[in-house]
Amino acid sequence: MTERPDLFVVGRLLEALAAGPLLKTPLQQRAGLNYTVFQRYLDLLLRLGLVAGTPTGDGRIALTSKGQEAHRFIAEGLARIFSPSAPRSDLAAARVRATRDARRP
Amino acid sequence: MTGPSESRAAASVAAAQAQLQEVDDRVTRHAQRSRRFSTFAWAFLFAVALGDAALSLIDLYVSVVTTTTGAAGTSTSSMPPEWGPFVAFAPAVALLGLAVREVVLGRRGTPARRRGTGPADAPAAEETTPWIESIRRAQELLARAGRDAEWSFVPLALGLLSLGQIIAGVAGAYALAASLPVAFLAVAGAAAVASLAVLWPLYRGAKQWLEADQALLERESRELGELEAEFFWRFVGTGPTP
Repeated sequence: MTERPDLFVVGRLLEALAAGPLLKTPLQQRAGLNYTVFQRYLDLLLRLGLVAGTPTGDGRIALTSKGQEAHRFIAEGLARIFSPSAPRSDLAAARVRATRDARRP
Repeated sequence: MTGPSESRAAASVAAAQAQLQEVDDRVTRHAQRSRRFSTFAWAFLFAVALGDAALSLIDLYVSVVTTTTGAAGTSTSSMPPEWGPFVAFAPAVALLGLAVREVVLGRRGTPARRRGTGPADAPAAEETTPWIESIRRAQELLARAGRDAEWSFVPLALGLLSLGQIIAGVAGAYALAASLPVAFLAVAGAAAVASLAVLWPLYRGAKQWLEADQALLERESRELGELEAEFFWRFVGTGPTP
C-alpha cells in the first residue's frame, strides 16, 4: 500500500470482524469497500497482524488479540472525538442540543 | 471473543463516520445556501437597476398627464401610473425575499440527513474517501460559503439603498401631487434602512454558524490526526505511511 491508509476504513474492517470471523465477501460488503481497496487493506491488516485466517482453515478471517486491541483503540478514540460531550464551540454545542431536541418525538 | 469493552466500542466507527458525514452534509448545505444567497443578492441589485429603467419606460410611454390650471396659468405634469412602481420593482422584492429565505433557512440549521438508506452500522455505498480529504473539502466549502456571505451583503445594501432612494423619489412625487406632508418622503427611506437592520443580524448569524462549523472541523481534524498518528505508532510502529 503506497497511499496513506484511512483510519475509518481500518476501523470499519476491524469493527466488522469484532462480532466474529467472516469470509472475505461478507467482510468486504460490511466494510462497504470495492474489491481492490478491500484487498489492499486486508493485506495491510494481515501484515500488521491485526487479523488472521481462522485456525480451522475454512477461509474465514478473524481478529487477533492485537486486532481486538486496535479496534478498541480506534472505536474509543472516535467515540471520544465525536461524543456530544466532546469540547466544541458554544454555537456548535447549541446546534447539537437543538438537533437532539428537534428529533425528540 | 467479544468482551464488555468490545461491545461498548461496537458500532462506534460507523457512528463516528455517520457524524462526520452529517457535518459534511450540513456544510454542503451551508455552502449551497450561501451560494444561492449570493446569487439572489446580486440578482436583487440588478433587478433594482432594471426596475428603475422599467419605471422610466413606464413613465415615458404610459404616464398619467395632469393638467393644472392656477393663477399663474396652466401647468402640465406627468407621473408614472400608480401600478408602475409595483410592477417595476416586484421582481426585485421577490429576489430580496428569496435571499432572506436562504439566510433564514441556513440560520435555522435544519439537521442534515444521512446519504443512503442503510442503517448506520452498514455503509450503503462504498465509502473510501479518506477522512482527511472529506474534512479538507468541507473546510474549503465553508471558506467559500464565508466569502459568498461576505460579498453578498454589498449588493444587498446597495440594492436596498437604491430601492429606498427610488421609492422615496416616486413617493415624493405622488406626495407633492396629492399635497401630502413632505414627511411622507421619509417612509420609503426608513423602510429600506429597516430592511437593512433586519438583514444585518441575519447575516451575522449566518457568519457565526459558518465559524462554528469551521471550529468544529478544525478540532475534529486535529484530533483525528492525533488519533491516527498514535494508532500507527502503537500498532504499526511507524508513521502514518506503512
